Amino acid sequence: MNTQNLNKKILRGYISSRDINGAYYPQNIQNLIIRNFAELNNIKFQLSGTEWNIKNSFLMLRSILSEKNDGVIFFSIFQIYENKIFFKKILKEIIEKNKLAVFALENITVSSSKELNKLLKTFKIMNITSSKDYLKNIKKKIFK
Amino acid sequence: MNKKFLLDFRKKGFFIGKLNLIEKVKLDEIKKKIVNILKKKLKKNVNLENFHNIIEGKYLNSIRLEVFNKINKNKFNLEYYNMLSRFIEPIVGSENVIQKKINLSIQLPKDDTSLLPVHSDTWAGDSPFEIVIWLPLVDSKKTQSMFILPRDSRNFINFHKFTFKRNSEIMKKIKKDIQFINIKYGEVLVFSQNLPHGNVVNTEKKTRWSFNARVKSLMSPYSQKNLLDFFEIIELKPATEFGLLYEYPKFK
Repeated sequence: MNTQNLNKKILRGYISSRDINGAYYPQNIQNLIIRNFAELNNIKFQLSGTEWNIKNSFLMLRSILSEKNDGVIFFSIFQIYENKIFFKKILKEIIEKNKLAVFALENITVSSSKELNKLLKTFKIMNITSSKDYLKNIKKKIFK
Repeated sequence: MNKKFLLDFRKKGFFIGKLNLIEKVKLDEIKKKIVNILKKKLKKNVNLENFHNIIEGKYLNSIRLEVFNKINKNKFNLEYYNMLSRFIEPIVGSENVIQKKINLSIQLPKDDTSLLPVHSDTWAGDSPFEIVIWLPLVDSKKTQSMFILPRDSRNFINFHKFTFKRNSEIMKKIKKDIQFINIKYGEVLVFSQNLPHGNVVNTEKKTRWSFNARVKSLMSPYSQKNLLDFFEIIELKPATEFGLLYEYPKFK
């Protein structure tokens, strides 16, 4: 999971009109992050597609994936992690098509099953260590 | 690992360690790489300590960003960790995360545009379980360097009891207890960012160049800065990997 070898890859941007991980990011800010990332990594950037503001809609993403390009630059991984089953399915689909999934905000690229598995493990660790009760429970066990 | 490091960290919340020959050779290579980036960009011979003689303050940040982006390509964070792991692992453990991009600071003499007033990273979304690995690229002393409020100082011990309205009040309160770090090229400063720290206008005659990076144990609690957006896993140990995959059987 790194952002090497993105040089001259043709990638289409993908932004959302829904909340992302509980926060609202204006579309121009999402585009700004994506464009800046593309410039820094010498990516041949194609104008972003905007996902519909309808829960569980990934219509625009599916269209982008059926186009001729090397993959997608998402603004953030949490655009698709809102639906965990879809997340796994769509990344598998991207890998099978030999395309790249690039997440600008997190500076992560997924291009293989190995990278996808590493990402899924990272989410598991995040679920454990970011829970509000995690620190409370540790303190309770140590200082009981 | 020198036991003195551990004792210093427990007592003061920071320590300074000296790089061995192999670590120093790696650091020399990194420094050379930076000098070459600057030489190519400025088409001049570059001496980092005297950088203020060839650059105007208004161009400083764009040059810093260019060096930062170039040096951080190809997993520099892992190179940085591996070079300094001897100083990190006795303090936080061996299954760690490090920030994705290593910060680079440049502090020109008399420059008041790159100051970091007294702060603790935990006040701005960092986990209290993190440490900072601060590595100078030149000898740094007094105001050219940075200051820390030591853990064993009266003001730190009582810090949680104070109420402040302005940043300047914090500095006023802790001024007599802060310690400026005198550190040589080839040494590393490891400190807990729970300790208030910062810098002031560099009144020395030399420019300071330094790296800094945050490291924490993989499974210790996170704050706002999390895996994916800020930290990268250095190595997932087999027991953790097994634990993550484990599923309980069903009992009736």
